Parts: sequence; structure tokens; C-alpha cells
Amino acid sequence: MKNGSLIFGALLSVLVIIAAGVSFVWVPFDITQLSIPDKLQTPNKVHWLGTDHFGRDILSMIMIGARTSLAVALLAVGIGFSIGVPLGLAAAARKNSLIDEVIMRTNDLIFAFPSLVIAILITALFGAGAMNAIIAIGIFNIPVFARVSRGAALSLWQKEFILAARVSGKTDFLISAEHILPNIANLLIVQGTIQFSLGILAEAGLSYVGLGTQPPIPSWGRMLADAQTMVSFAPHLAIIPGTAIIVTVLGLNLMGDGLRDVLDPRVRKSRE
Amino acid sequence: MVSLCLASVIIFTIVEIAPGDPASFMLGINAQEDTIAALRAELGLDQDKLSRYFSWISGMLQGDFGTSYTYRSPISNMIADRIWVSLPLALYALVISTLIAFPAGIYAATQRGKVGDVAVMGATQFGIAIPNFWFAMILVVIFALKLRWFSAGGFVEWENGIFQSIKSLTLPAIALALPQASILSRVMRSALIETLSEDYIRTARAKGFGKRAVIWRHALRNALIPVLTIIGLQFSFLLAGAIIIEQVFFLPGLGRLVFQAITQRDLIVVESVVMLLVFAVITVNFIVDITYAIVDPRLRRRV
Amino acid sequence: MSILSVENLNLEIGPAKILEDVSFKLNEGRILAITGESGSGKSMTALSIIQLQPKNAKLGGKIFFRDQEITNKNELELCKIRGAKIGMIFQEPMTALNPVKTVGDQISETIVLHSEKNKKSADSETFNILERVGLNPAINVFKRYPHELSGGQRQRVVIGIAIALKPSIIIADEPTTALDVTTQSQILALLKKLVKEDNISMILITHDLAVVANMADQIAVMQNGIIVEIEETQTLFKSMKHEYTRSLFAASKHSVELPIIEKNSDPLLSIKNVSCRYRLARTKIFSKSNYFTAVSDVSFDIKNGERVGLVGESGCGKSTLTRAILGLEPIFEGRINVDDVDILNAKASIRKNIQVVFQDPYGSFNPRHKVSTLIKEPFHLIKGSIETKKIENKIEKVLEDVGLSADDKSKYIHEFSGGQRQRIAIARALIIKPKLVIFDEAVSALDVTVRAQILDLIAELAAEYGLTYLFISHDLSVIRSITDRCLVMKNGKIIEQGLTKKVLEQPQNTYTKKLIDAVPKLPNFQMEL
Repeated sequence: MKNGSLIFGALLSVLVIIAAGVSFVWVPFDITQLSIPDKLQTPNKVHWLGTDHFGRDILSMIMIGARTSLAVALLAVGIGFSIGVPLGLAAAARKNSLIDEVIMRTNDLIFAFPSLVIAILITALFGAGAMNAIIAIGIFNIPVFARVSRGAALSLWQKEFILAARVSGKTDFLISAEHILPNIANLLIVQGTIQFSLGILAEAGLSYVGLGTQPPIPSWGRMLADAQTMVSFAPHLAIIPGTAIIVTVLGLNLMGDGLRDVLDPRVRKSRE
Repeated sequence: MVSLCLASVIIFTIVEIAPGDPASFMLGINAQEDTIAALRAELGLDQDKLSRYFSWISGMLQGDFGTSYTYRSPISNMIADRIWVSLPLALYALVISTLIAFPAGIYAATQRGKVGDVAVMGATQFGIAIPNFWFAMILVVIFALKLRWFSAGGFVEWENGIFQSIKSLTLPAIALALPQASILSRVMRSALIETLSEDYIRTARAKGFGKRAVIWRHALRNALIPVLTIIGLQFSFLLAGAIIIEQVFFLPGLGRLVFQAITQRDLIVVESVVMLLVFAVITVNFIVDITYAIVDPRLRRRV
Repeated sequence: MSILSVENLNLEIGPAKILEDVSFKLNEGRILAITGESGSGKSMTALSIIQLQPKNAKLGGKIFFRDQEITNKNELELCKIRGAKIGMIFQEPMTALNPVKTVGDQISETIVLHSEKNKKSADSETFNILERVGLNPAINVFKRYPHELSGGQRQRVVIGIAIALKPSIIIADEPTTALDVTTQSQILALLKKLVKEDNISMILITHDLAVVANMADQIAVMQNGIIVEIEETQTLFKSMKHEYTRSLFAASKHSVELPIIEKNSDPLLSIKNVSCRYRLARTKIFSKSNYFTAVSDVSFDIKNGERVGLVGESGCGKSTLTRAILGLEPIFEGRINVDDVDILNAKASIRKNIQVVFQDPYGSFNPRHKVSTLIKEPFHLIKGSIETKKIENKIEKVLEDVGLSADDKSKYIHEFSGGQRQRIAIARALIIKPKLVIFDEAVSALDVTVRAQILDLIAELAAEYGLTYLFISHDLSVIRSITDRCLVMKNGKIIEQGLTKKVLEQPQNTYTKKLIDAVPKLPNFQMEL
């Protein structure tokens, strides 16, 4: 078990990242070229993962789809992180003040919305597309990061080294930047990987119902939606993109778990 | 209460600022200006935003959700039909998820670090990583198309036999429950492990309780507190997830209603359904808060 | 015949040897005290006796209860011994009871578990037990939850669980360490009485030598997992064969020589009619806010060169007052002046006159910073740039002053022991030469020998830096040795003040008297050093 999950998870994640990276310079087949005669091939020597109903090479589509998935999830996590963490730190620094109250109430409010429903609402009303999907997923990352950083920061604010810094006349802002943030960084990294994997699942879900990435850009969720009507006679169309999603999410989650064990001395101790 | 009011304002605003005028959408691109204006007046869209907001809210408080723009039928009736699919589906999934998660989590916690634990935890990692709509497709292929145990989609109305209805919800509920069950068993396991390291567990052991007795008599109830939080959160995931799963199984639930309404710019239906979902989530969280007090005497008010 | 005998107990956790060849015998009706500093293995010995040592520990040796060997019994047989034949009392009453079960149920379930009795008769027996451990039946303790009881009351419940089945042995692991001194004396008296009435043998584990001296018939002194000396109490005090025993007792009787410093009559710190209060959680949404007054109408001065102690039990308001003086806590009424400037709107130029040393050597430092960064933090209060070179010199100087080496500045805090960390905390407080240093329970978390060293250091620095300080502590012996004047605080008020010697030897206030009487005292013994 020891760090096995970290290594295995990192391996899977790197595999997906490499696939996405390589797709910028090279893919086995051009996916904008439709070739109906080659349609619905099962995996073979030419098309390693087979072809879809338009005769497009599935491996190529998976590689480009990886790019889409990673980009959407990463940007969504970025939105959540860059807005949520400062809000959480501010709320913790001014515990029980009006700012804290407002930030936390707003958080609760966003939590009360079934997240996917609102994501659907936003993308549906403002138009489906990758950008709106990013914003919709990103909005729901904000309260997660705000809550995690506030919770961790609150317990740090009780620590004597923070009191000592206050006695040294440091402002709340300086203390948050100098003492709090570095000490909760580990936690945020772990939360980041978890949100990242949830982002990938959410993007797949939105694309599946036709509200995420739009054609012709390939995305795993769309590939699954296309596969649905053909699943009885061409199951590989569903199995392959599904496996891609599972591998990515599994890799990220295992990496997150592994990181938590490595980075958190409390867990490390209790394992001994 | 406060959050409900705020939620209604937010939903209303989002829908208002969204591009697309329902009246012009309904009449098509070639409609005349004055016909559009007439329809806008008929739908009440020409009034100012504030008064529309209040008539929406006050109607909803009386159980009247207004009239659908496109179908011209009361939304309450439309929702009433659909909710008897979506709500049972979410609850069914919640029951399945809990029934799987509790034994799995407890078992993994007692086997901590041993083969059983590693196996259960590995399985849950997969469970979390599998997109539920994909899992749903696979279930359809195996159990509906190959084995023909269940039908591939559609819903048998409750009037036509409760058992048949439940059967038609079974595959969707399993698909919905799988990731949630995985998350819940992990929470159950870690909450139990955390509780087992508490001082009062050592006290109980020193009293002469065996390992099993300690779990049942002392640890489980304390471990329930974080588990309850997650169950509450999961309900909102399940409702949302139900919308996507309904697409896979062609179930006539709220999800289908919302998608139809969105494509037809039937905004008042969208508003009402989302509001209803938020209401459900807030109610569930309220119930969870009450359950906390039952489980944990520290949260009870002193009488 | 001995009721319990431990033979060559060895315990290893990974590569670390926790216990080495621990052997002793406990005779019927006697109290054996095991004492030693933290990490000596005394608690692990206790847990090993009831076979509840950590899972990953490797245990060797034999333990006999009467004539049965415990060490080769299976889990089922052990469960019949635990609680019924051997009762256990733990240190932390706040966490030792299950928060979601009533106190009565927690005692009565023990009775049901080990006897044929049904729930009803176990419950009625529980009522008697609660009364025996001194819990007033009038407040209906049975139906209460642990969080509704005070620390002392909870410890009485834990004792109730331990004696419920009239066991032959009770193992008490630091039973009073987490309690206030007045509560401690009551709990010790209760234990002594119960043990005698039921003819129970007891193993008392404590770091407090005065408690040991007053309770035990026999004493075992442990160091690094080894029993260095085990003797009848009287004999031990007379002979003190082992060097470590001698140093332990010397350290707990340690007194320091405070330098004599010219006192200046201007008050450096002046506290006038200060009150602090907290808002309590509302019971109903629209009810009026209730307040808890933590500090009420406190006034005193500290003159330049004075060394003042502030004594009180937990919850007396001393921490709130400390934080108010540091400007970390809003005050409700009154004024706190430093050099005639109100601390709450004081600028950095005034604030730099006060620095603080906290209690917890582990929580006092940001683990991600180097020692030099940690120590120079107070320079933030000094406006204008100071040459880096000058600061570096000061860091090195102050590290040497507190007994560390200049090279330590580039290390991280986890490389230091508790005592060394407290030295670094003092260095951080002294680096900008403040006029007033506040020691907030600064030696309470330390073992006796380390405590003695730190007290010596403070005395030395008092001479070198001409320190004025306020020393907050719950420990009268520390206050006695390190302050000139002292204040006694109770329920947010200063109830007595005066020269330390006078207050401690001829207390006027009844509470002060009670406090002083409650402190367990080491008997007078002659040491040949």
C-alpha cells in the first residue's frame, strides 16, 4: 500500500497528460476526414481502437478528447482555487465578522443548488459550449475551496505561532500569506486533485447531454452520447471513451490519496 | 428560509439575464412584431421584473407554479406528474447506496490494512471513477439487451403496479447509487477508524468490551455524525444525477421536463423545477440537522 | 502472595525499544506508584498490563494476575478480566467518556457486561456507585451526558466505572494531571478512600513526585523504558540510590536565585478597571445576547524591573487577561496602558515594548520556517530598515544568550526538543529587547528537569537583560521561585496580591489558602549530593 497508490495514480495521470500533449503535434488519423467505408470497425491493426460511425479513428479522438477534458477541468479548478481560497482565508481571518458571515452564507447557498442542475441551467441558457461549462463547473469549485481553506485556517489561527506573529504587529493579510497559506498548501493540493477529477466527470456529463463541448471538437462525453444508440451492435464505441474517463479519474483520485498520505504527517503517523 | 428567498432571487436573475425571448422563440423567426408583443402581454412578460418576480413567488407559495409558456397548461400539474418518477428514483438510489456503504465501510474499517480493506477500498476507487451515465449504458447492455431481465428504458406508471414501477426504476437507481455508495463507504470507513482511535473507545475496551462490541455499542453512533452530513449532500447529487440518468433510460421525470423546457425557452418551467429542487435539498439538509441532534446530545438545546 | 507480578516485560514498536526488562510485584491492598518523565514508558507499562498496547507493538515477558498468566490468554478471557478484575482510570476525563451516551448507561453497561444482572438492577446499583464517587444524586447525574459535567465530575464517573465491579486492581494513569489543583486533591482523596474501603490494590502512574510521595506505599522510578529504582516509599526517600532519582527530586524542589534589580517607580504596565466579556451563543434566535464576563474590574501596575506572577486555576480569566495585555483581545471596559499609551491604539513603537513566550513548545513556531526567520519576526515592529548584517548578529547573539549555538539559526524547528524550543521562544521574545516579557504558562508543558533548566535560564536573563516580566502560571511552586510579587485570580477578579513570599506563606484570602493547601507537598528529605 505504501505510496503504491501515489505511484500508480501518477502513472495513469501522466499517461493521459502525455496522450493529450502528443495530440497537439501528432495523431494517428485526421479526425476531420470522414470515411464512411471504414465505419464501425472494431479495434484492429490499422485503427488500434477501431472507428466510429463516421469512420473516424477512435484513438485519435480519445487523444484530442483528453485535451478537452483536462483543459476544462483544469480551468474550472483554477477558477475555484483563485476565488475560493482568498475568500476562505479572509473569512477565517475575520472569524464571526460580517465578512465571514456573508462568505459562508453565500457558500451554503451555492451548496444548496444541486450543482449539476445549475451547470445545466447555465450552459443551457447561455449557450452550450466549453467556456460556459468551465464557468459552470468552476462556480461550484469556489465554495469547496473556500470551505476547505477556511476550516484549515481557523484551526491555525488558534495556534500560538500565529499569536506570536500578531504580537509582532503583523497584519491579518501578511499572516495569511506568510503563515497560513504555506501551512494549508498540502491540503489544497489534495483537494485540487479531487476537484480536478470531479471536473472531468462533470465535463463528461455535460457533454453527454449535449451541453458541454460542441462538435466537431471531440470530447469523451459526446462520444458516449453518440455511442448510446449503437451500443447493442458496437459496444466498443461506449467502452473505450468510458475507460478513458475511468482511467483519468482513477489516476487523479489515487494520486490525491497518495499525496495526502505523503504530505499529511498526521496520517503518516497513524499508519505506522 | 433566508436561503430559500435568496435562491429564488438568484434563479430568477439567471433566467432573466439569459439571452433568448420566449415569445419570439415560440412564434418562430418569421413572426410579426405585433404578434410577439401580444403574446408577451398574454404571458405577462411586459410587466416589470419586480412584479413578475413577486407574482411568481406568491403563486408558488400557494402551490400555483404558473402556466407553461409553450404547453399552456399549469406547471403544477406537469411537475406533479414528473416528480413521482424523479423523487422515488433519488430515494431508491439513496437506499441502495446506504445499504451497500454501511456494511462495506464497517467491514473495511474492521479489516483495516488487511486484504479485505484493500479490496473494498480499491473497488470504491473504481466506483468513484465510473461516470454513472456510462455505467447505466453498460447495465442496459448487460441486463436489458443481453439477459433481458429488465426493459432498456421507459417507466411503468404507478397505477399499473407498484412492483413493475419499482422494477423499471431499478437499473437507473443502481447506476445512480454506485458512485455515491463508493463515496459513502469511504466516509463510513474513515469516520469509524477515526472514532476507534478516541479515548472513550479505550475506556470501553478497558471495561472489558471486545472489539466487535465496542464498534456496535460505542463507535458506530459517533461515526454516524460525519456520515449523515455526506448522506445529506448526496441527496442533492442524486437529484442532479437523476436528471442525466433519466436521459439514458428515457424516464419521464423532472430531468426530461427541464431539457424540453430549456430547448423551448419555457423559462417559467425551468425556474419552477430548479426552485423545487433547491427546496428539496434545503428540506433534506434541515432533516439532517434534526437527525444530528438525535444522534449527538451535545447539539441538543439544554432544556 | 502478590496479586500482580510483571516479569521481564519488553516492548518494541518498530525499531524503538519502549520497555526493557520491566519487572515488579504488586501486593494486595497496596499502592504502587510508577513515576518518571515523559517518554519513560510508564503509560505503556499500564496499557501492557491489560494487554491494550498498540497493535503494532511487540510484547515480551510475562504478566501474572494472581496465579494466572495474562500474557497468553485469548481475547475472550482477557475481556473477562478487564473491567471486572482490573479497572482502569485514564488521564483525560474530557475525552475518556463516550459523548453520545448518558453517564449512568456507561457505568451500568459495565455491570451488565460482567454480571448476570439485568439492566434494571444494574441501573439501581449505578445510582449507589454515583453516590459513592461523590456525585450528588440531587442533580440526577445518571441521565446526564458527559459534556454537561465538569472535568472533576467526569473523572469521578471514570472512577465509578473502574470500581463498579469491585476489581482487585485499579490502574490509574495520570488520573489528576488534567485537573486543577483543588480538584486534584479531592480526586486523590476519593481514590485513597475507595481503595481502602474495597481493599483494592492500585498502580498509580504520575509524573508528579509530590502526588507520588503522598499516595504511594511503594515507588518505581522509570527512565527510558527501564525501572531504575523500586523501593518502599520511606526507604526511597531515605536512600535515593539511583542518580536519576536524585536528579528528579532535586529538580522538583528546584529554586532559583533571582537577581536583585533596582526598581523604578514609574509603572511600565498599568491596568485600570479592565473587564473583558464574551457573547454566549444564543439559546433562541430572537433572545437577547447573553455575555460571560471573563475578566471583571481588574486593576494593577507593573513597575520597571518588577517580576510579577499571576496565579489561578483554569477558567479564572488569566488567559483572557494575558491576551488583552498583548492587544489580542478587545476590552469591554477600562484601560491598559504601556508607558502611558493605550495598548489598543498603540503604534508599533509602543508595541515593541511587549513580547510573549507561550506554553506549547510545539505550537509556537511555524514548522515551515527556519529558526532565523522565526526569531527575527518581532523586527517587524521596528520601523525603518535595519541592516541585514546587524539582524544576523543579533540572531546569533540571542541564540547564544539562551544557551543554544549560533549555527542553530539555519535549522528547522522539528530538529529541536521541547526544552530547546522553549529557549528559541525566549530568544524570539528577547531579540528586540522589549521592556516587558509575558510568560504564559511558559514552563507548564515541560518535564521537571527541563523545567528547572528553563527557570534557571530566565533568572540568568533577568540579570543580563534587566527583565521586567509577568509570569502567568497555575503552578504555585513556579510562581514561588521566579517572581517577586504575585496576584491571585479567581472568577475574573484579582482576589489577593502582594509579595510572593508573603502571599504564599501567609495568605489572607480563604481561596488562596485553599489553593495553597491543595498543592501536594514533597516531604522534607535530606539529600546527600
